[in-house]
Amino acid sequence: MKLYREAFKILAREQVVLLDGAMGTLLQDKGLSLSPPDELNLSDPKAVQAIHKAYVSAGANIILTNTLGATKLRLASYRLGSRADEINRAGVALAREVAGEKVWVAGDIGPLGEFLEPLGTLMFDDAYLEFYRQAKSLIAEGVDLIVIETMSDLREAKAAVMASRSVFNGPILAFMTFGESGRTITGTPPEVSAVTLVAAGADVVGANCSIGAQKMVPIIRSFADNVGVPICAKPNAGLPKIVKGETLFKQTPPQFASWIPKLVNAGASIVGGCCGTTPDHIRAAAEVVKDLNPKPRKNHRGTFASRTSLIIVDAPVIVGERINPAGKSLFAEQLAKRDFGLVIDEAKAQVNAGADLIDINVGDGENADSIMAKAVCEVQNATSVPVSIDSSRPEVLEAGLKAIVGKPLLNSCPVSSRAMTEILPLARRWGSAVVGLALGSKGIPDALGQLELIEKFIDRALKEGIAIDDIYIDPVMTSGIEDVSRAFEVLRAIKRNFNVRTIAGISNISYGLPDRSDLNVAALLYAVGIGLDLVIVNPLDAQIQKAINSLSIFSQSKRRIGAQVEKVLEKGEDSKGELYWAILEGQCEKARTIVQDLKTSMKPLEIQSKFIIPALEKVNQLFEQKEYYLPQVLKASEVAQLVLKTIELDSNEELGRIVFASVAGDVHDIGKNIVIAVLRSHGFTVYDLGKNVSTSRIVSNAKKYKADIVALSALMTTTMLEMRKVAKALEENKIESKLLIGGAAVTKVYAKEIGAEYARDAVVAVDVVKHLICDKN
Amino acid sequence: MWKRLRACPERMSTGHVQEFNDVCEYTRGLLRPRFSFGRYKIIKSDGGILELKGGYCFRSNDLVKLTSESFAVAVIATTVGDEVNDLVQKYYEQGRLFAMAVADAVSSVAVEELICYVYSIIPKANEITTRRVSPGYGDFELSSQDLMLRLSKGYDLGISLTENYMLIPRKSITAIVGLNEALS
Repeated sequence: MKLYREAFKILAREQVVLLDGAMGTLLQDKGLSLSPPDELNLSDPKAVQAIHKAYVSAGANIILTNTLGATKLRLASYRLGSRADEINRAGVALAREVAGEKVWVAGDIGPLGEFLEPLGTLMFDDAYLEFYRQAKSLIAEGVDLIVIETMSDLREAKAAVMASRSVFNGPILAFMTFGESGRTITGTPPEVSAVTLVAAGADVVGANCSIGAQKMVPIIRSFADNVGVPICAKPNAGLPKIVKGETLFKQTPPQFASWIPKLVNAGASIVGGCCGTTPDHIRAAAEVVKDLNPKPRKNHRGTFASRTSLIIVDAPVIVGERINPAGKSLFAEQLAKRDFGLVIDEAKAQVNAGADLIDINVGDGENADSIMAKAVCEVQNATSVPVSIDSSRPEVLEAGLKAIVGKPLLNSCPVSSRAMTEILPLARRWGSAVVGLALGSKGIPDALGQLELIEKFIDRALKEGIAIDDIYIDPVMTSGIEDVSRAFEVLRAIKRNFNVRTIAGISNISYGLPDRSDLNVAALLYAVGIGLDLVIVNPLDAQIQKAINSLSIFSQSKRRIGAQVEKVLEKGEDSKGELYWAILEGQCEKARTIVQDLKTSMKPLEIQSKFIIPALEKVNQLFEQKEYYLPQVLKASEVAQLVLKTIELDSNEELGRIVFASVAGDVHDIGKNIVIAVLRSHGFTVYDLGKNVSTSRIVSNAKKYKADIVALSALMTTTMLEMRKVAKALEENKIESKLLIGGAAVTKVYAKEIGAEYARDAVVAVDVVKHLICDKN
Repeated sequence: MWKRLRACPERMSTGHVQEFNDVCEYTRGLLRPRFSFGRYKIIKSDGGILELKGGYCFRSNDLVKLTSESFAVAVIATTVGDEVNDLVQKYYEQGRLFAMAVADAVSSVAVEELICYVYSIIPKANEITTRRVSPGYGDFELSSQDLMLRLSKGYDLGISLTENYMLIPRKSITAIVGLNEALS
């Protein structure tokens, strides 16, 4: 019987649905060759089917086909690309045979094993085609649902959902995999993944693999707080442990099942198991699940997302309007030459001034579609806020949509049948919110006429499959007293009569009038007062900025008030100054100029304590919060080192002496060099002895330099053993330096064993070194 | 590449992305990819010993397990040369830390991609490969590197060993894969 999307969603709201558990790890336990596991659908169908059977008898409501890696691209690395269709179809047939009437079969789709550009080299269209092919094979053989899982790149996940949706009307479940930080390895948090994938066409979203159930609970909560669709939790059997080179999952079936109620309580209504789970885990889960009911949930709010951040329309959202060549000849010229310098500058400036969304309009000139795609990429690279794609041409809108990571706003669609036929399907297909422009083919009618158009637009958008939360109406602001009154009247009527949100270009009302800024502020405050949700303005206008900040207090926007507080704390009273920001942003040249000026009026130590140390501490904090990654830490360290060199600290002002080496036998030094660089940028004096350094040389240098700390690095388990020898030699030679160790193979336990301190990365090393030197003194 | 650096370009400024691209391109120009491999029939694969034709033996339970269904193995050596390592060192000495990390990541990715390529061209028709393993993993000891380099003719590529069995140039990899008959 055909499984309908809505019916499945209703079912998953009323009862907890149970997926099966791991396939790959079970096949591996049976000693089968996993190169690749999907190929066993042809070469050892009985083994695959036996696992399906075990999950059916354990009580799973849905079993997943053994096709996680069966895209043509992935199979091609095993020279099996030409058999992809056959492998996928066989996978479905095997599951179908044992599923019977009561169990559904889900076609399983996994990542391609390559990142999409700009993270990797794979083009969006190529990824889409891969997923499209696989989905077609799975559907041809008759799957009831499609499960997309283990995704770590949001753009890839979106491609998989879109490609599957283009050929499948049944339920699509899309899961991403999150690390212990609560984000995917590419920095996407659960709430962003949730809104983006639902907008792209997923009926269920959730998390699978990577971490155990315990760490998955807050992730599921975050999913459930931000979307209304059912949520799935598919954890591993605990955290994986590497024992003698093998990955082991140690959670027993009762332990695994004990977490299911917590996951359901957090918002999951579909649960299952990932790596390390077995039919016994699913049987134990089935026992628990039968007594559970999904938590009632409702979510009705507007959202936008970039790859890393989510904007919820719970207070006026500011849309920066400045990326628009209209009336700006230099801007237009640069765009025509594909020079995106101004686009980048405007995007950054607007975000710094408080814009929540950046509107991108590149005009309608020649090659506007490819210019739009590039502009979208540049803005996404330069900022982390979502974007609004602004054009009247469908092909330009689509080019922009294709380049987007996350969930954008499509601005806009007039209420004419041609525009709606062309633009609304784009919004639905690409998972975008859309603006209905309340004007028809004959221009802007009167208020009553506009309301008729609005009703028509909403009906059409809903029929197209766009969610009510993703529909925004623009009452069309123009200058002239009568026009402004009409727009405000319509705005009020929309809020009274329709369950949608609104957007308007405020600056339009003052076009051609004197004192534009004053008029814009008055219009902004008035419009927000009567219910305007998305405000298109110039956020760089100082008066507008003040009005927005004041409004945030009345509207109680946590987002904006939070940002204000942060700004006051960080930039207020200019206590940290430009050098702080230059280090934080890794700007060498800027820092060089500033420090030359500062040197004339401040002592080196003052510069260090007032600017360098606070900036580096902020960098460390951002690294811990996963806001910054290694490259930003290194750029900041680079600038800090340059500044330290320029200010020439006295040697008696040094914070501590560290002798650093890669131990004997180890020729790897990149990790060591990174730690040294970060320590030096914090003002520590580090003597770098290099790599493959003998124990005797380390000891003699510790003595020679009167080292506070001896720091050792080792990459391999074999060379790590040298660290014990160094520890012993330091003790024998009565050297009082503290010992700090780190490197890929080194663990905290090993450090404790040899009486050393341990740091897992450069940022932690700074903290440990500070503590050790403080203790010593 | 960004993944290798555990970073997102979205979080970087345009200037830094530009520097990233420039260093990537420059490092790529210094790569000197070379590879060689040899195929050897398995005489015996049990009791913790993998014995190959010619009397060569590896002692490793993991290797025996890996090749339990194999009729032969291929022993591979790859390197991208020493120039990239010099560049990484030069950036470090200049205090260009970001460039240092990028150049190191480019050369690591390059040598890994190279071995993936070699891995893909090894199997003949009707052969499939097992996964590949390298000395230092599980009970496959680093001391096997000398035999790995001899069997793969890695020494001819200019790869050498330190006394602790580290490969020089540093961005070099040796690996062994089992060759199984493909099921019809």
